[in-house]
Amino acid sequence: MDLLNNLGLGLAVALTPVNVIYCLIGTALGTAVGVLPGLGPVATIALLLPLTYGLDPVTALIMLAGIYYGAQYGGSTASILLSLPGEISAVVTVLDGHQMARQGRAGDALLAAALGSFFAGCVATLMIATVAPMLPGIALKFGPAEYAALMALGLAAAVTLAHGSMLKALAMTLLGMLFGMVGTDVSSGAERFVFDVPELADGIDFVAVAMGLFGIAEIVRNLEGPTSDATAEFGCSTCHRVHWRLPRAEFRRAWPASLRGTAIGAFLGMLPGGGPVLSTFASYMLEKRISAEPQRFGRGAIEGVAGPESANNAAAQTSFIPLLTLGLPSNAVMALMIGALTLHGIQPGPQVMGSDPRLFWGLIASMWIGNLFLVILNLPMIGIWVRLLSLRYRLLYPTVLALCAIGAFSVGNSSATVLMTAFFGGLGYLLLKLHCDPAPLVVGFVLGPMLEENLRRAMTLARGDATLFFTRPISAALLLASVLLLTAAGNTARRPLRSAKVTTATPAGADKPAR
Amino acid sequence: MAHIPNWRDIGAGALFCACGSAALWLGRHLAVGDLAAMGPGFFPRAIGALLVALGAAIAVRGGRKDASGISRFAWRPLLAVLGGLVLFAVTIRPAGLLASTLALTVVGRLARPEYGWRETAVLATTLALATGLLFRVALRVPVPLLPNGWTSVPWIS
Repeated sequence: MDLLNNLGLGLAVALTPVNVIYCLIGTALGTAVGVLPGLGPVATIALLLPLTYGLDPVTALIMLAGIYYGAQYGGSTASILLSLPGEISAVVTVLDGHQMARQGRAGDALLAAALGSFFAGCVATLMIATVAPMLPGIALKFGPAEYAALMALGLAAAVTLAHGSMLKALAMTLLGMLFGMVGTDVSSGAERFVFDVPELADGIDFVAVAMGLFGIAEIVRNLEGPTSDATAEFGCSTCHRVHWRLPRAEFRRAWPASLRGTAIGAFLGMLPGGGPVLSTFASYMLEKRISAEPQRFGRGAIEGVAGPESANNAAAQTSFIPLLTLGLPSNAVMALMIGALTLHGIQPGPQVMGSDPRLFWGLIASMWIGNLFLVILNLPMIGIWVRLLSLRYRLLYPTVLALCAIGAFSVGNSSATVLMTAFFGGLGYLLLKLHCDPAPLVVGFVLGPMLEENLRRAMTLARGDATLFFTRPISAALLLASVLLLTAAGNTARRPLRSAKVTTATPAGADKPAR
Repeated sequence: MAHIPNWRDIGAGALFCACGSAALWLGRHLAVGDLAAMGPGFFPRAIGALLVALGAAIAVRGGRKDASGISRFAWRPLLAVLGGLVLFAVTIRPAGLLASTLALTVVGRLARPEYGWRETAVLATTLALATGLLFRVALRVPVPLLPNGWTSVPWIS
């Protein structure tokens, strides 16, 4: 058996004491920076890159990869407890995870996220081992037209997952795309919306957008109510009851969601450009779509945590496939990984698997070990994370504020990011007041530039013939899927609106509870 | 029955219209190009125009929908939090991490009038020292700790 031989080789590499220790360091560090708002895996990996010079390339990659998927794990903790997604892939977890925490079910949410992630990690690892050797052929069929169609699918998913009115969600996506345009145009080099500010020439940093819209705006909203001390918000008495097992009813809801999330994540992660972000949105959408009671979503549905958390972990791992098989970075972290590989004199590309099997299979095997570490690191420590909640909010929020400020500063070592965070904090608060869900804006911000780049490239290749998107089968299928998503969501959005008139509930049924 | 418009939707629509128009106006000098060779102005114009149209649609629909007002802005916490961040941004270069974290915490705590000064002082000092240790020493983020010109302690530089 080829597969067993390969995995055996990988385990032999990954289980050497040095690699096990670096895997542990990587995952622990990843969890920490994932929990810490503002300091994400990108910044951490960038900072640690120089330190890996002296290491064996396999060891270096094992540690850096551990930071990446460890942060996916830790990111869910901060999302659930603090409504602070350090990473865009944790944005969806906020929707239901934070609601669960507010209702005193933080322990359940964290446990569902942890178990879902572990399960997804194991499955995805096996999947890489079986699929990676045969993937190069399929992925090579992805041209700019297919990428552009893929981005369109991602944007459609973002619109459908949003709270409240679909029109508003669509507009928020477009607004996000506008913010994404700020900076130097990749294709022509022209500066757009830069206003001669040098800090804007590189574009707005994602950290500023995400931290401002979610973190800062949420802090202000928490401080506005008459009960400013958020013991009502966070310090609920039941939070301290940490279960080692999910209640049976929750478990029955969570495991199928986790299974579906894993499948979605593993598949979307493999597509270059797909990755964890898209998969969390897709998984959330699916869960909401097939649920018998979609109105529970946004109000603490455990499926909305288990599904996307499984999806992002699965995708985080399968997103190594395009990197390792084709040398294509599917996100910023993978781009840094390419940097790490070249630092060690390894040319990323299809030849790595054949010429350096120790590296390829060692890294894959280490992911399974890393996932085991993450469960050991996190499950006994759920109590510590949950205890964070009993912190008085009047002490907690200045701490979060300070971490955000320093985190924003450290991204580019510049005050501009801090100022932009403040700007997006103000915008986020205004949008909250207008009942506009910020999640689609963030997705538009990330996917917009990629959509533009690929669309322009595809159109240039087709000499301005737009029918190319419909004649190429993969892109036509992706576009069809986006249209179906939007119409399906349009129908469900209209239905509760009609019944809501009867019950005199607010038309946007899933809006955040007004405080 | 007197009809009261939905101010949330009207406000949101107006905001989207304003942003779309701003994009159209600010991007007016960018080259549009054609379908085969789209210029840097193609996307801003397309997205800007779509945003204006969508914003108008949202506002018009809001005018016909049921009433729901915009809840009051909590100016004090908003200004305290954003002001603290801005102060942090402008002080960190000349004054260093310790001083700017102190300033951020003190201003941020103005969000609610009932917070005590003693607690603020203790919290600010603790936070400044803890974040300094965490980011500068443990995570080795190249942040200046002390004001410009002060000699840094050699083991943390």
